[in-house]
Amino acid sequence: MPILWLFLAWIVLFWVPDSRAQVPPPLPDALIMAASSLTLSQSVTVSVQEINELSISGDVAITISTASPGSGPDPENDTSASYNLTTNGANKKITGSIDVAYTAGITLSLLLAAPSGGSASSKNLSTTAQDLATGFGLTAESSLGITYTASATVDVAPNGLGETRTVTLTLMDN
Amino acid sequence: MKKMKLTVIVTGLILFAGLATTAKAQSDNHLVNVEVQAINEIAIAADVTLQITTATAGSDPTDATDNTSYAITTNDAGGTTRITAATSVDPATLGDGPAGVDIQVNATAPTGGLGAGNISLGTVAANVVTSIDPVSEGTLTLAYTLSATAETGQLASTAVTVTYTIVN
Repeated sequence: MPILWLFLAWIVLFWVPDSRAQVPPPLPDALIMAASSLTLSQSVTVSVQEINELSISGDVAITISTASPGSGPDPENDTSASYNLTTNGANKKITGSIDVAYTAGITLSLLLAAPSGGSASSKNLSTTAQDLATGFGLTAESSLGITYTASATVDVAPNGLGETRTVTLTLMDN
Repeated sequence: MKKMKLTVIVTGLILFAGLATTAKAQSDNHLVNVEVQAINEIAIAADVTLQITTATAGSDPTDATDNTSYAITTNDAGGTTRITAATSVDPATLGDGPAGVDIQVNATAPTGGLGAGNISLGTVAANVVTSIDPVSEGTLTLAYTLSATAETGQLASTAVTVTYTIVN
């Protein structure tokens, strides 16, 4: 019996609550807390999507007003417009078309300056898209030339303020 | 935790699919205006020389002839386009006699037009071709004839400018 009293007295004098019961629940896996620093590890996923961007600068007005006697009206060139291009894809092309055909006898041809690595050829524009530049890719270039040539046969009557059409260039897979 | 990871992965896949869809063909456009103005051009190939040197006895001097050609381009479709000709001096006043000379021209009409035949030229413009449609043609003949009578007398070499005009 004295032993029992001694044991109870020891508990009263020396017992300390267990501090481990106060430890908060563990943090998420990624967070490891050290004594005096915080380390955060994170997975970073980087991706580069395919990018195809094309823009055209400025509208164009072309006037046919001269001829050599005995020949049809002189064709007129315009190089005032240009285009900018960015693509990180390979084997691309640019097509071109107009929304509505010009009056019979008027022809509008378009020659693009070819992006690096590609080739370009002049085409008479129509409502059907045609390849203007092909075989290029992985390039970012600006102020690439656009050369229009408008021609008219002698049967085309003077057309006042002219005919306006929308020319659309499309960057796409070759 | 596993559910949260699955949600993140699915969300990523959706975003990736969305981005992949936007990376297709890309276009831009602009306006191109083509204006065709009225075009009326005519050119004469060369000068001509008309020299009267002979006559059949009992008749007036023999006419002198010479040809050149002209080229024309017009896009006027009004149907009233014509070519007129006028001289810088009145032929009737040339020569040292009382009668003067007669300078005629016969212009070959371009396709669709009407030639006026032999027209005596003067300082007042005269039609030599009428009803011209839109056309571009070259090497169309201008046939000149110089006539004089005995009453013309003599005429030293004199340059006469003939001006051709396209009139719409």
